[in-house]
Amino acid sequence: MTQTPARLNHGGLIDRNKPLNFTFNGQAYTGFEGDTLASALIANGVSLTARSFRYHRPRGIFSAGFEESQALVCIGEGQHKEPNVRATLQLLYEGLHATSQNTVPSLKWDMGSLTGWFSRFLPVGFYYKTFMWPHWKWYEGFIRRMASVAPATSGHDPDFYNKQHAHCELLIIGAGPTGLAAALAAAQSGLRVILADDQPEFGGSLLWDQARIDEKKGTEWVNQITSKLAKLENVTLLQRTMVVAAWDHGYFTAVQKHRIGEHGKISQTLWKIRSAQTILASGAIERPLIFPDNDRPGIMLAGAVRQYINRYAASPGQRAVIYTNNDSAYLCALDLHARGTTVAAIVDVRQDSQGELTRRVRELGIIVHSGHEITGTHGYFRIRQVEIRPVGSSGNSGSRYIRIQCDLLCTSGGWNPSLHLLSQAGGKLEYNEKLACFVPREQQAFLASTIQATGSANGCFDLNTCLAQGHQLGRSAVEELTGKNVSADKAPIAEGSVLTRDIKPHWQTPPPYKGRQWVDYLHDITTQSIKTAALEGFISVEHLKRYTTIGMAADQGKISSVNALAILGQSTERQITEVGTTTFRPPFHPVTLGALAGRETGSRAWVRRFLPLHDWHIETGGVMEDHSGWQRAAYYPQDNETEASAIRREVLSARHGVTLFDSSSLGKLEVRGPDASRFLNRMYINNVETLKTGRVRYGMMLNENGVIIDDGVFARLEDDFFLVSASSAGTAEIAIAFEEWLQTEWPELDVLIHNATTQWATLTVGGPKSRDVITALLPDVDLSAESFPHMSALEGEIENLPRNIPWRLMRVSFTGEVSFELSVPANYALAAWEQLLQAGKPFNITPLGMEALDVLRTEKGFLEVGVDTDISTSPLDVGWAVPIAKKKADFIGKRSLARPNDKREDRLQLVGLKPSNMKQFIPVGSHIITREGLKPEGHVTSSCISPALGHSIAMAMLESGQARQGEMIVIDVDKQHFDAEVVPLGFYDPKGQRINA
Amino acid sequence: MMQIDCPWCGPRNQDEFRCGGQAHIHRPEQPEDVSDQAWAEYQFSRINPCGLHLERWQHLFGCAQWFHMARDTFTHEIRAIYQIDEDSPGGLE
Repeated sequence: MTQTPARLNHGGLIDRNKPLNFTFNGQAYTGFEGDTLASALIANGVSLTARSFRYHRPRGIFSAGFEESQALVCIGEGQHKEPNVRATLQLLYEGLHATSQNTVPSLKWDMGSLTGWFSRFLPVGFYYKTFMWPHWKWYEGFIRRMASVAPATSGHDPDFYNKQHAHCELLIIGAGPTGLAAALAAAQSGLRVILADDQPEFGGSLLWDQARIDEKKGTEWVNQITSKLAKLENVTLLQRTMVVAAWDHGYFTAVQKHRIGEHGKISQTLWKIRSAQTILASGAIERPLIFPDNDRPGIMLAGAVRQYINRYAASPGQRAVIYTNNDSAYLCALDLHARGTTVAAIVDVRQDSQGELTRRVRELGIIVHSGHEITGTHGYFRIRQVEIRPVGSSGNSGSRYIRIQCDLLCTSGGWNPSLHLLSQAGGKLEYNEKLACFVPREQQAFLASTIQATGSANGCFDLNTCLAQGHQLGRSAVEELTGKNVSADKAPIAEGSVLTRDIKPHWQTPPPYKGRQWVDYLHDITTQSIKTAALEGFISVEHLKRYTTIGMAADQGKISSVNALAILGQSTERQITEVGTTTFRPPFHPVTLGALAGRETGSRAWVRRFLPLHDWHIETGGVMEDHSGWQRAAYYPQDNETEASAIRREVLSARHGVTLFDSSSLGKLEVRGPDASRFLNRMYINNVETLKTGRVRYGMMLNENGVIIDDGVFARLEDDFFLVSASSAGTAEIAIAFEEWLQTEWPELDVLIHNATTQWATLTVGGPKSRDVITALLPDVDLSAESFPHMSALEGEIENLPRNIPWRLMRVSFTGEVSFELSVPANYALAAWEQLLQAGKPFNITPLGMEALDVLRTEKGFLEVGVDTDISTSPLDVGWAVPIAKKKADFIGKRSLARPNDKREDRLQLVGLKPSNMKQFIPVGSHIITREGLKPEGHVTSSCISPALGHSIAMAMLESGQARQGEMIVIDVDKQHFDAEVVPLGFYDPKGQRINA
Repeated sequence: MMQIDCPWCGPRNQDEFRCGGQAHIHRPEQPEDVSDQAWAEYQFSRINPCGLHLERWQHLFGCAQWFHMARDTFTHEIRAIYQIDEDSPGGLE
């Protein structure tokens, strides 16, 4: 155990009674509960944490929060190793193992830093200009390895993620002083209030800025308010909850973290919040000043340094220099001095050295260099010296300079109100010259009108005013929501502020100093990159972002964006207002995919539908596959037989014996009413009105563009009652289409649609022996060929199964053999199925799978929509021109079939194919090519080696197919060519004698 | 994720609904009398404005009823919701 040389003896919000052991890059350290990994590293004197993305420059710890763009590390090991974790957000726990990423072989001696030597040849956008000859792929692997940060976690995520919906009248984002004041004012109203903050404790800046409110310590005031709020039932307090996205109509998503360390439990909750009003008290993010060689470890944001000292009792250095353009960094000097760090100097770019603040620091012996800027720094693994010159001595690098030794440089270039969420919601920002930052525009359009920014998020940097603003906004939100006046307590009062002087923008140190001035620390973008991009014509801020990749790293530009666009403005002689900002998009902070998936993983990752007889199929050994969302048996292997052998056995049973097939997923749309027939006549290409009661007809439905969207049979059970048996895959779409036409176009039609698909199980008994089997179940029904021919329908009741249950029976066949589709209510499926199995025993009844069915229907040349047809296929293409010509009445899609393109003769048309090599199986999808030019002219859509015929057959879409009967065409199978003859569809029993038996 | 006030079910999240595109487009009475050009316009020509848009919506994962919505396509403000057999109420701009 090493000492913690930089831990302050007292103060801070850490718990010194709970020490924690952790490692970083294999080295053991200790910290305390309440530390982050960053604060613990600082307390242990560690300043080097990472290497930058492009040039592998040494990186340290830059901030204390989510804006961190330097200290990105890996946490954990093996399959739980999580990359790109911000050390500033990682709560310390016992046994934490952290490692640097993107370093070979080690953090200190990283080979990647050699790219720094070549940086001259790797300017912005270099990959558009270099590494191209002879072929860019030569360099891709190497560049990808260099340009990666850390490999993604490879193992299965052991944690669980929840989702939570919530509604509230008021959502308050941020529980710093402003948010707490607002919550306090609003909570008494009884309205539902949600208060969310990304930190483990509420308080925001009060956790470190040594404020006093209502005559107590800031942290004490926070505890008091939090306890008060916790007692109220209408208030939901969410710690460790970052609101990451603002959507429409007051909808927000937030990520709440639960886990600290231990895996296998609930790690995060994704909150989906609908809020009537929202207060954005999200604070402001400090931005650094930019100067030559400004990216060395030991250079930190001044506010962050205050946080490490006051909140974590960790001292980031022993001898500090402050570099600033505003008053807030002076408080950093005061805090450092109070805790024993030598403050060697304050370098202030402003000439004005008057005021209370300057007096105070000088009293403590701190030197203030007013009107000076940093023109260089030194120190590779850690800063050790800065060089300063008077502002305005530009052009003269031989001018007088001062060198100051230090191991810590605290910089502040101002504060950027955190308005990403307002912007995501459509809110507009404007640049405020006096504050040198972006603030919300006065009037917001509809979208953002229910979101109000307040406190430092609204450009207010005085604590007292923030408290008053938050309080006022809490009150007015309640008044707006309830319409009543609110008598709340007075606003909390803070001790007066000594920050009085204006900020002075100082976006960069003017040339000609040697060191590069870094704007984006993660992607290594310099002021020079921005200037080069502008020179090359990328002057739009959106182009700048994409061309330089500035702001596109893991920190999403939280620290770099305003500096970047200010420098772009300087490079193109435009005001910041003219340059504008890029569009803010969700999420505000990276969200782990697990949180978005929630519990919809594994078997719940997609919707699966199960047939009523699913258990029976499994128990009988059925190999289940997904068919348009339904789990169906592909085949039922017996006694170790192969797949091919099982399919063949089932096919032969279907042709010579009797099979049992579960058709329960077939659509059953009940269409009832006086206008049922007229309505269906408009939906089908067939004549519906001529169908007699008790009869069934095969039909096709088109969309308005003339494309086949479904086929199936429809039965007329009564004069005004039709049963539409849409396909398993298309039923939902057809049901929706029916409703749409009836509700939006033909409300005058008297029709009701009921989708009864899942209420009935359909058991198909098929084969030459099928009549014997079905008759055993329905002994009193005349099912002879004369009384019940092919395409007939009947209804009735079965007795004692165990009670009387209704049934429907149709003679429909997709196999080409005699076939009976028996439908019973779904919960009687097993009872009916078992009776059929029993009745079929003497005939060796065989369960039929989807694969065998596919072979049987291919032998018959029966098309399958979506397999033999696609989204361009019309009924004319599959041989239905004659029936369509016979139908005079209009139907959906009919008009489109009269268009010139629909009538062309060279369209892809469905044909049968008989390969010359009888044993050659032709894979589905194979291209048909012209003999000469090897140009494709079609493709194979269905194919099998037919057991009934003993040779290979196929169905295909072929240009001008209908006119090319008898022609020999060429099929390409993996560059091998096979001849085939174009033949009529319907290879097996083309006259349909068996199907009509 | 808009919140839509279904006329029958009340305010529900957008993902329960299906958008049916531009409203008040009616199928020609006699399609056989319509030119190819006019037929294509009926099928495909839509206004796609930035601003006020009259649309058809269906509460698919709810009551499955269709209704009309006047929505601002830029701000997503829902200006009006009216029945499927009604014309848009005036004064929406």
